[in-house]
Amino acid sequence: MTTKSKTTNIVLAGVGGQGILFATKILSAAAKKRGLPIIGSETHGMAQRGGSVVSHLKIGGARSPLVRRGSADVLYAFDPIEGHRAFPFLKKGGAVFVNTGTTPWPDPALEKEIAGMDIDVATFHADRVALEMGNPRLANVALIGFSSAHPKSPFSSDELREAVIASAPEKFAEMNMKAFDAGKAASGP
Amino acid sequence: MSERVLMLGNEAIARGVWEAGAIFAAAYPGTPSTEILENIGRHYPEVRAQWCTNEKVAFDEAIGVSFAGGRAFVAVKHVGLNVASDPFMVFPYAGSIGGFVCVTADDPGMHSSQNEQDNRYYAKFGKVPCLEPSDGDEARRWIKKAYELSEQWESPVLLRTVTRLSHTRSAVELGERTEYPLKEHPKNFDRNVVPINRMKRRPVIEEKINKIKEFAEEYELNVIEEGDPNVGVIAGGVSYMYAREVFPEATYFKLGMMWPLPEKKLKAFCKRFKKVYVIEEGEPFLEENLRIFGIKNIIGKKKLPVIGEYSPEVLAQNLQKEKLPKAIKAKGKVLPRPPMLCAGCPHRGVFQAFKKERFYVHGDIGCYTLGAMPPFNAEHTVLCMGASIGMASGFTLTVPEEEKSKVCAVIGDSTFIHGGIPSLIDAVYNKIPVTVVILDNSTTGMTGQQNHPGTGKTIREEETHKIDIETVCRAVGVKKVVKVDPYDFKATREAVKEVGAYREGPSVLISERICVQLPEFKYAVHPIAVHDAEKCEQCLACDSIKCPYLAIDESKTPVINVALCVGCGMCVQLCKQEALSLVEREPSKV
Repeated sequence: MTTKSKTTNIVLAGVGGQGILFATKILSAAAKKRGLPIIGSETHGMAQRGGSVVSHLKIGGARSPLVRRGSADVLYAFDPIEGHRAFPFLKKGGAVFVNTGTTPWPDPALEKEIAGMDIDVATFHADRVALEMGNPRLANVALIGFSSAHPKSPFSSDELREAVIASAPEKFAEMNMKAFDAGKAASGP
Repeated sequence: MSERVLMLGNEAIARGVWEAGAIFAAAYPGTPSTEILENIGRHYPEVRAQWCTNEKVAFDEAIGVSFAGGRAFVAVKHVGLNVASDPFMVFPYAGSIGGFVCVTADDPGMHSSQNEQDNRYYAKFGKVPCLEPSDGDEARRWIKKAYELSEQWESPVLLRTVTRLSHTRSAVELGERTEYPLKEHPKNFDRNVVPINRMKRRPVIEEKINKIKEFAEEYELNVIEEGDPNVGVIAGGVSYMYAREVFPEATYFKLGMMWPLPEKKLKAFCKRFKKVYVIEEGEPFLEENLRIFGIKNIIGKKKLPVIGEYSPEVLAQNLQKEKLPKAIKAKGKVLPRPPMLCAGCPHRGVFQAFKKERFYVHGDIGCYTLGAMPPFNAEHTVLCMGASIGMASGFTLTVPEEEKSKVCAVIGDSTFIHGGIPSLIDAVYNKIPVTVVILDNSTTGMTGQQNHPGTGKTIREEETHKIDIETVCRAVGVKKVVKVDPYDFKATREAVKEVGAYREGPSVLISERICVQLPEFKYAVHPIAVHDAEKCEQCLACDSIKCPYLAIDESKTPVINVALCVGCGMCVQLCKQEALSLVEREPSKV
């Protein structure tokens, strides 16, 4: 849990079109609701055409919007490969929430490189949940829902759920809420 | 304190323009500046907002507003100021009446640009003041400061932002709008840069910039922030924020005004320290000028890079020798993922034809620069907005006869209107048999689907005259104009061949299909491609255009992403065994 005395650094990584900006908006809304200062950097323009997209979000009084490698508390990886790419942002003892299929994550080939970093890895097939709901674009919200019950989530489930409702256009609020709930349900009891 | 809301840097700038009482705002879309005008168009009806045909037109119109006594605003990306550089350089000779502010949004790191260009040099070059805020709320407030400066000195003012400020979201305070009555616009020749006047004006601008330099000595936006008496740092803009994070204890000279520089105050500051760090992303602009002032005890580009974007990481690595976690290098696991054409992008059809017909393609600025990448590899040169037609003309004139029919320019609808038309007229006038392919997708695609004169809608979605590209081409004298639907591979290939083979003068092929990111496409019901495993012979022809939603599994069989397929039918046309076909999608499953 975030306290006011400390900055929480968050990185969101994925592919253009996966709704990284929307996921960033949800986390920002949750922080704002708590009255915490936020600064975050987003990827716009050409890089959004299916390329790698990274959002940086610093909560709690940071000056610059960029997270340094080795200093992220939490990484949300909406794509397994982008998760690998963004992995060096994590600090020792950080947590990563990954949208990945049935293959193991991180890739066993990377084990050596990440050994000793003491990272909490929580994987979840968010794409499947979203497809089951009939809209693959909901995977972003499903992953946030999945992460929300984790002890290293920067916000509680209730806070994030409320932020989803506040951030989604009215027309899509219910759909997003369902995706959030489905993600959360998949994280266990 | 009034309300604070989360805003992108560009939204904050838009807010500042509105609060400052500007009555006119113009731009041509360009990352990272686009959202400024988008937001003015969307939220602030008191400001007349316009997408202009190009940056020079935007500049000229804004100058007209200023001459008529109103507060005028222009937003450009760094290279946009190159397009507007003609009026930019001469306008200071005339001087503004109503406040004139131009935001230049530079793109260090080239996230969405073809070059790195530090536009602080333009301020010095054009002899105009330049402010550079460090965060969104400063950007909002300093737009108002920029208007005050402009009216105080009767000079245009630059306000520089960079990608990391424009696209950073942070809390911004909301102020109210102040309306200003129009200033007098005397009907005399003082602002006419005719020969007799420009000789009079030349010393005037020199005197003016020197006076502003004196003014900068006491200017409130140049601030000394006391800290460790042994470590001095000079910085401004986002570089100041990065420096603050890495050296929180240092004593800072925070420059809010990047030009002109307060020479005396900077000299006095540097005298206090053994060494002073000059932390500036981009070119050594401050460093060069500090050296001109005779200041020697500075450390800048000797330790810090000229190339690329700064970050706290870059500073820590270069100035503190901090060891950072390394990028993951396991072989084949973290391949680079560059941007690509969208599934269903109509440009695919045209680039497939270029590839098959082995054309030498001169490209232009837009999503179609991606045609240079695999699987097409079918764009050989790209420079700047509108350059394709001129380059293709010169190239066509020069290559041996047998190559001429396989050379073309490729340019989008918005870019054609921005800067392509004069080159097409030139080709007609000078009888150059150049082939031009115009990709008309009814939008300014790469910057996020903005209207332009060819869409028949204004920035505020009001109906206006729709420029018809075919009519333009015929009107300027192009005799051979062909239209094609790029979703039809065969027809597109034939059409490309046909215009290439036409050698009696310039020829134009217009490829017409809307951008898949437009709401008209996005929210329509499209068919989906389905695969028949029994007919499939695993030839992989369908994979040759690398549709992002068609994957090939271990048994070399295509797997279509049913949920995301947009039904363009390109893979269906590539299949030689009729194993792929399009079927209607039930609306309920959309």
